[in-house]
Amino acid sequence: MRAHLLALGAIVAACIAAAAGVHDAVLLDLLFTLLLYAVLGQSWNWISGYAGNVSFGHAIFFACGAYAAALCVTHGLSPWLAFPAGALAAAALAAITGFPTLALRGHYFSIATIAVAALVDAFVRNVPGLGGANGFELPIASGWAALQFPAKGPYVLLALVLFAAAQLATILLERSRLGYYLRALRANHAAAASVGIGERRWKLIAFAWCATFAAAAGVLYAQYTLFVDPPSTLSLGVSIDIALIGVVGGIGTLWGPAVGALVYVALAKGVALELGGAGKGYDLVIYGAIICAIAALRPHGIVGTVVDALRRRRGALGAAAAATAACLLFVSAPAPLRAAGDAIDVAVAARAFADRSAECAVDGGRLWGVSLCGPMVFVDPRTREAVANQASPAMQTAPRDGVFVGTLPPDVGIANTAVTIGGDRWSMVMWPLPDDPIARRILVMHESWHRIQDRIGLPPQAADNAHLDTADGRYWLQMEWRALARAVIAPADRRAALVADALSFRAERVEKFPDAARNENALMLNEGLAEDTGVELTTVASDRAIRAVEELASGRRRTSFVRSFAYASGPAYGALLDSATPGWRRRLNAHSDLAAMLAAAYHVRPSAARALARAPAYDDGGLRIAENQRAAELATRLASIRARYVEGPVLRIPLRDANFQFDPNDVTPVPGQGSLYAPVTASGWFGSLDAPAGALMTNAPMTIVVPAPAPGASSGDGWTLSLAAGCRIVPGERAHDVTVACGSPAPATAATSRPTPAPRGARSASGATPAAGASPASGATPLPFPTVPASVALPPSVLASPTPAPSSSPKP
Amino acid sequence: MADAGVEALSTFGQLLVSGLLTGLVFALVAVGLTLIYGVMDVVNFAHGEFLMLAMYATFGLALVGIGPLVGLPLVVIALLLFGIVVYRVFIRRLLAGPPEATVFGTFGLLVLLQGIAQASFSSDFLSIQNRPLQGVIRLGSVTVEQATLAEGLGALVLTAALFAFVEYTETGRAMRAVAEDRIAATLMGINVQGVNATAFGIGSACVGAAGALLMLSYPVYPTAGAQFALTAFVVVALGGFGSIQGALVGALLVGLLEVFGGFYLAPELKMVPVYVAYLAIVLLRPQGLLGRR
Repeated sequence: MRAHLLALGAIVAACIAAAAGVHDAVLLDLLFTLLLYAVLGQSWNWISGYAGNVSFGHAIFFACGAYAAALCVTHGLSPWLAFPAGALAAAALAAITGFPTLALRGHYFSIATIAVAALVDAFVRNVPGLGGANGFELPIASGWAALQFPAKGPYVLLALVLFAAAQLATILLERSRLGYYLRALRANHAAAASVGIGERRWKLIAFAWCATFAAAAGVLYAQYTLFVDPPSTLSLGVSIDIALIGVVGGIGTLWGPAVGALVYVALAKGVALELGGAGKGYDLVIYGAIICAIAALRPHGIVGTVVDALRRRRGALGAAAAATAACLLFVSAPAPLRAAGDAIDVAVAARAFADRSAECAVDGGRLWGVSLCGPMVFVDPRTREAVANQASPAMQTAPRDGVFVGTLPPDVGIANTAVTIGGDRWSMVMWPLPDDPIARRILVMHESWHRIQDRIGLPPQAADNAHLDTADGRYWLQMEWRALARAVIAPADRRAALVADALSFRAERVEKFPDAARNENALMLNEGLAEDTGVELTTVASDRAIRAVEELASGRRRTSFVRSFAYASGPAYGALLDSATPGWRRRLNAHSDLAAMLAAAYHVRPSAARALARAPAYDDGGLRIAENQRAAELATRLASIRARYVEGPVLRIPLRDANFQFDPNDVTPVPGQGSLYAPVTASGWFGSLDAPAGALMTNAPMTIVVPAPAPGASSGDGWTLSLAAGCRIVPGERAHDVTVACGSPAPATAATSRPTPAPRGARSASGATPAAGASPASGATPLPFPTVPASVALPPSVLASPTPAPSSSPKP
Repeated sequence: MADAGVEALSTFGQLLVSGLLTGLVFALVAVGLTLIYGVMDVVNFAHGEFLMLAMYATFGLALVGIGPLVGLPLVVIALLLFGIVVYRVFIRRLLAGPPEATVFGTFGLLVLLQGIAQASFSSDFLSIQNRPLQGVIRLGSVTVEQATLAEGLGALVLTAALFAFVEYTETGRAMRAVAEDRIAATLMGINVQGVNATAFGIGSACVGAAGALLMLSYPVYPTAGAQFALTAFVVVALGGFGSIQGALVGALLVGLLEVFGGFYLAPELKMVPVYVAYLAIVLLRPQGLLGRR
């Protein structure tokens, strides 16, 4: 904050000096325009940058001020009155138009702002008294009372006051509850809503406030040009100029609009002057090219990039070097028209490796005392194609475009995890990487941590958190998450009480399930730390809390919390520990208790009694009802599954050498039996089975079970079977059960089969859950999923942990 | 009294036909936009500038003696290739960034292409000489310009072809698969980058056809496309981003509102009913008429 104030002070001093000392009208005109546009860009930045509602109609608030000035002056009133009048009009207009439209998402909002601005334009042109299409010419006067000056210096000073006010307001916004809430809403409105942030209310407040600065800029503009008409104040072109200024500098940043205005004024005015006037189009070519380059290479804008580097001063040099390298790589990377089936895009892989190197350089061993960088390989589970960041004889790699392309040896299982290949420890991530760049970077750093966890004395420990599939376990875990979410975004002085709540809800859980403390902590020390490391190294400090809330929200959407809860809790614990007791990571060992550390760091004594007392503050009863309902539904479902698939009569087909496809998002663990997958298709020695209603897959030996057919039929309730030649349905081991037998002996050995993941299943199994960054299937136990040979029994942990429903980016 | 009634009725018929034809012209521009959005979630704000390039290309062909109807396939192919190149070189990189990168990247492209056009061709209005189909057709009291009719029919053919392509061809199915779930599509062996590039190319080829047809009745200048594109954005949002049928329905609705609004309100207010209808519809159905949530 002090740095920002110093910077602002320096700018103010420089502008005052310029206003007093410079008499070059052209230069002062540029300075005035620059300051005015910086204010307009900042105003836009509040709603479109911090709140994330991209507006293409922001000029209407500017016009409110300009028209207020014109009306005041032409009616013989003081132009100073136009400041409050224009600001009020703009705030009212923002409230009236924002109330319905701020609920719209994405492009629907942007187009709505265009529509609103066009309607305002039509209104101004057609309502008597507003000057129509001709607008107003303001009478010439002079002096502070008339707010008109023969020289440009005073205008620059006034614009400077406005600019300083807008920057100060934004500094306050960044540190206020409103600012936190807006960023939380932008990052994930559903997650923000889940902690009780009302979207419409806070966005309306921001919208109304920012409209007032734009109006003040409009007043100054009118007094400066003495001419106000619709095209110059509220056309789409003005709105788009404002938006582009906000973006070029970096949206959602304090200094972005000022930098954007500098670029815009330098180009639109400077280049146009240099190249002999606007209208030739050269200024547009250069400006357009710059915007294109920023969007493609530095999508967070100029300031976003600089801030990112400055926030991590220690690694700034390394980051700059790596960023330059990444840029060069990126620009020089050929984008050949690749044939279908060439699954791993080498350029994308190289970029992911470059991102990782940049993050490692920033870390430089800061978090764990050792570098997170090392051998890393991306593997396509369909083809075993491997793209590595270094050469590996075991994978027979050949260099290509800066990376190493080879094939994963057949004895290495494919998962998001750390593995040993050819004697070296590697981080492995399944291809494709998540689309979302943040999720991709988190996943890559998450798996990088798994590679070093043994070395830093935090080896994976066995953990069975089956209690998190019970109604009570789920309830108190989600209560803990709610309290954690509030704690991470709370101001520092209120955080301890909220941490006490969170840990008390945990204490209540531990009281009900005595083993929970040990088992949960074991997974937290493994996946929780991995995920926290991923988040910490890929998120700028100011977004840390919001990212943690997002991870909590994405945890809540998972079908089962048994293996996934630490992905959600880890980053929140990390963020809270970081702010109370920096360096906590170095004090960790395999016996550390993260919950106890957190309690000590905030000097709180969690207790089950507090949990019961504080529960009403977090749950109005809805969560309890939902969890009880879920438990009841699960019990009913399990009873009917047992009747259909266990008690029988059933058809059992041993899966000796079979391909099968299933959707891991629709999996119901059946205790003691295996899991029900729906739908399933399988083919192999017996022919093929299509079971849209689902089939039970049992372990040891792996068998697929469906309800028995009527005698002589080859289809049954919810499935059809096409038998291979020579095969028939024969009586099974149990009375009334049946199985399949073939005339020729079935192939006995086979690790050759490969189940093809069904589309949706493949998605979550590949760890592509965008918000979480990694699938719970990743981890220290290499889960041979989804490429498990069917002859190998899936470990119970896989069958017991349905992978989470991916939270894809919502499509309007 | 009776005469006035007949006149009102024939005026209404004329407005109806004009409105539908105007709507079809909007559809011509909008279908490509919605296809691109549907497959890769990108609103190509430079879509109008692609149209402008197609119109300049048609103008260029006319200078060497190739008329717009004969030149149409050439312009379509040129825009297809241009779209693929733009995707491979530029859009692909935007997709790796945050969502706003695609908005501002395509805006940058808009500014760049307008600048290039202005630097190369100046801001003059250029119309092709000896345009074909300049007559009118009279159907009772309703008059239709041949050129507008050709544009409307072209829009219908284009929309139907695009719909059939997406619904019934292997590539179209791949596009729908990518639209549905990009990662799953990758795992099923669909080359997502290839599909995206194809979709971007085809979306651009659509404005290639539109540009050739629109040169039958409109002049070209550096910001010629922006006029159509602005309406196309409203059309696509009104119909629901990503829906080809929605674009057609939205375009017809916008065409009718604009023509009737222009007649009964005032010519300069013709867009008011369009924007009011857009706001009313998205406030009731935030995903547009035929869009998916």
